[in-house]
Amino acid sequence: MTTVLLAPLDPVHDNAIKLLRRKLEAAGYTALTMPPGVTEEEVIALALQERPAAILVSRTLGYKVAETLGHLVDLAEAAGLRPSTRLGVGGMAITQETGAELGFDGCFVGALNMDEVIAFIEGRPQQARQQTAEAAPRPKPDLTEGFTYAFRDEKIARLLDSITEQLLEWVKDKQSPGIERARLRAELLTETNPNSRAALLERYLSFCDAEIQSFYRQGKLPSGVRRLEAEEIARAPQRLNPPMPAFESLRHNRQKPLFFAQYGTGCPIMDAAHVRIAEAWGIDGVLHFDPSWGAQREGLLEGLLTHEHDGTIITFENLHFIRSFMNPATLWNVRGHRGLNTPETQVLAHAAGADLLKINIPYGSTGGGTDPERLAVDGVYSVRLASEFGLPFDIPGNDELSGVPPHKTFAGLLVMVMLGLKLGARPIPKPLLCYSPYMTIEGLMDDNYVDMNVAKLRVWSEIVDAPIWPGEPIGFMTHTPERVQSALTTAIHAALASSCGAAAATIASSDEAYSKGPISGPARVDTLRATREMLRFFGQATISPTPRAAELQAQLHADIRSTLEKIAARGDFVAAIYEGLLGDPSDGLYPGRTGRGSIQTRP
Amino acid sequence: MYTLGFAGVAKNTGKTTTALAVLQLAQADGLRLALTSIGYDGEDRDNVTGLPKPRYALPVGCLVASAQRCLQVSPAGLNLLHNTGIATILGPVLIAEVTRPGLVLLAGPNQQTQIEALLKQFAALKAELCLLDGALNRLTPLAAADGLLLSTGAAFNEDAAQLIDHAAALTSLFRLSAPPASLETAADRGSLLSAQAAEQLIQTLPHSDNHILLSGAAAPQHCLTVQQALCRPLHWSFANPLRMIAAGDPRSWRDFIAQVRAAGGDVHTLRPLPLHALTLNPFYPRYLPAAGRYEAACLPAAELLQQARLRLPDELPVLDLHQQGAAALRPHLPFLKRN
Amino acid sequence: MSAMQHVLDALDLETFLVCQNEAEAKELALNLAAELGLSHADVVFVEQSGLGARVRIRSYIHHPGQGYGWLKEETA
Repeated sequence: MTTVLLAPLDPVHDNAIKLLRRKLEAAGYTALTMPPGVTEEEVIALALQERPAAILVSRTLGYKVAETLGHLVDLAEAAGLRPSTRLGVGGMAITQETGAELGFDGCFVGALNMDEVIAFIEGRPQQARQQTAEAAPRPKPDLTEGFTYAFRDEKIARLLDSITEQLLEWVKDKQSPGIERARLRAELLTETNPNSRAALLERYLSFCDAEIQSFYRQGKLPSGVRRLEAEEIARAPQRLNPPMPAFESLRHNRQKPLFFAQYGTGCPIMDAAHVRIAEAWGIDGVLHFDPSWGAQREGLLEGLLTHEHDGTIITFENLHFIRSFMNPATLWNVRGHRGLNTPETQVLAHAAGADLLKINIPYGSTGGGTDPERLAVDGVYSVRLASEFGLPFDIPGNDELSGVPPHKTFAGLLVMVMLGLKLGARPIPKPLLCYSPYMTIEGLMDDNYVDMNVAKLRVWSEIVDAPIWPGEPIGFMTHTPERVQSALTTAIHAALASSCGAAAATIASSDEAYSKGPISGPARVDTLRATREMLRFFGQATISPTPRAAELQAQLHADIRSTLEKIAARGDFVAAIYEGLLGDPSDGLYPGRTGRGSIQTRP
Repeated sequence: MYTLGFAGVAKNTGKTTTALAVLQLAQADGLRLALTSIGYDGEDRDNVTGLPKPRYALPVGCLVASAQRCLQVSPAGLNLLHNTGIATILGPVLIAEVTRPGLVLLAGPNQQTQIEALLKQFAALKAELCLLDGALNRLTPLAAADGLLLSTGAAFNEDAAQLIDHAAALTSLFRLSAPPASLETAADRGSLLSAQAAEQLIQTLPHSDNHILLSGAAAPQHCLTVQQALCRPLHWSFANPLRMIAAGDPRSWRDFIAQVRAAGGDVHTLRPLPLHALTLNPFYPRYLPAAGRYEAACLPAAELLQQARLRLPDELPVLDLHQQGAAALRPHLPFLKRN
Repeated sequence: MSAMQHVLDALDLETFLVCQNEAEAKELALNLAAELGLSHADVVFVEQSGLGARVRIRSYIHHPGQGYGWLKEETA
């Protein structure tokens, strides 16, 4: 059995050594430890006796400590140990440069990485090992794996069946410019013949707004938009593809939830930088956010485009560019839950390599600002696309932020779940973990933030066996521009989501609540660090709510059912949205207007 | 090719300043130079004290052996010649030739056997003088050199008397003779680093043996235990002065040597290593607790040099390069032209 | 390339200002940013209590959509 000698060379501390011993023994090594305060001579004397494969030294660097470590190395050389025994060092403030200066064979920087330590003991080159870790493909997780989508509340299932049957029947003979464009865009993406392309583009433009037409015909860019320069594009790979550390998940010892971050700085290069930062700090997936004006125009642009406003413009080139910088295992969602380009966005996202789509008819046609009739037609088509592409789609429940009570929001999410299942897709509902205006007004979260949020997650498992993904982002309305508070509240909501067995959670940056400028890279690191720490703190431990949570859950369940009863009784899902059954003006919700009157009924 | 090693008693004692002085002189003589380090040398500032450090600015034609990651970020123009196959934390050691003068970050091989292999490669590339920079207080690998310059100074000990006493004891080890031919060849007992090992040696050394050979690491206090227990005229042989220093304070060695000689024996080194000069650096980093940083401080330079010269033997040149300039080294280095 | 050019996007400055009230804290924060040569600075956060205010000041060195200094320099 390979022997390793562990020496603290520290007057007091040897915690790192104890940890290393436990882990090395678990890996099948004989780990000899020495107590704190031993001298360099004692270490080498024992090494001469035991002839270990390696001596690992832990020591915090300080003035004159370097000399102590240098002396150990010198002594090992004088004693003739170096050809057979490798010398490694780790500890606070030790860098690779100091390791080299001290003459060690190996140096462990940062958190303990056992693969690295073992590679060193076995004499495998560390650099090569790190490259292998980077290159080794990580499996791409599937959020929907293991869920049956079986309904546990049969009454709700029947109501949803009737609502969605009516919706599907209603859209049957409807057509929209959005759907026409999606079909044409799919053809444009594959058509290489210039003449055919030009003809397709002309047809495409016949379904577009004047602003989009002038972009294609006169090359006129919308106000504030510019093309990325050739030099910027050429240099981006050099800067944005550094050697990346091996992936370390935020979850400590849990399998779930997967963590997602939103990006959409307005610039594909900055987005790629943000994605790389999020990946390096442990994110599992990212969501692409587009500018709101893009959702209000008929038609999408082309090319690598940037602007100085929130949300990154959806073009195939932009999406493909950003995706090209991501780790292949990073899950990627492109939102298309609202707006006039919903079906086309799904087509582009799929073509650029998206793993998830985002569709929600009730939210997109109220809080999202799109006309309900239009989004019902485009939304159903989009769910069909998700099914055709084999991609899961998530359903954001952000209408709660306007003041809608959760039972109405959840009723809408459930309609989308059933619609997805009917069309052969895999839906993922996203109830919000938040402190919404409704809760503030009703005083339902006056005592704590736990009970209501637990009720909102647990009620799902009473209704349907589906993956639950609290979004978007978790902790909404509890964030402030204060960095520490904001990171903390995100992290504690992440722990709650984890405790409740959520499949995924979307986390904000610590400057989410700062409204006067874009999200910054360092603020992303804040919440990722905080979340990692919080999940480390809890491990397999869970958060226990008060008995009030069960009461809230029962009430919520009953209210969801009665909302669905009303919608089913109305017999017209689109009319139900217009009439506020899923949220009305008193809830702060109004039917959207963008695209009103754009639906045509085929004869 | 002559290999000159630069050894320091501690960090900030002036190794690199001394090496730069020799570099300047050798360049003036037109020697083809080669340079490497047994550690890492490349920061503008000391990573502990934050104080500025001298850097290696190399002339065109100079050969350099350094880790790949150091050469990649070195501002000097470099023509890579070949990979030595020696691995370090900062990547494999490569040999390059300077094509445009500039700073070079150094991190070379850190073990004596690796250095010996590298020196052969330098010689094959027609280098005439190889400068081998030490690192911190690490000395052992410098045994690969043909001769040494030793640096000490206030950074090692701010007490001038103690500093000089240490230097006197240290340099005396370089004057130990090789074992006389008349002495019987002894079995190599390797290292002696524990009381247990000393006891074992006392028990097992045959009465007829009067020669103890320790080619590894031997600590003076354990050697002393053996000498005192056996209490007879013994000859002690060690590999070289650097290995002795690695395992014990030179002042302890001085006490040991005195006892061995008092008992009628002597202490030898198998391979004497010429010590060309001792450089003395009055600079030291002084910690300012209120400011939380270090500042450069200095012992009285002229006085320190005078005291050291009084204490150390006349045949050992003692120099302060800051006071005397690089040229003061010239008469003491055999490979340089005499003016 | 200056160190400033290496800032990815925003430069945040956090400190505690000894002052009377939040309005004064904001004014001081912006003056501080100006003294440090930070252009278009904004106060992200200010909380006054007792002795003074905890503040966070932000200046975008590289606003998304503009040119980035860190992209211009060739990597070593």
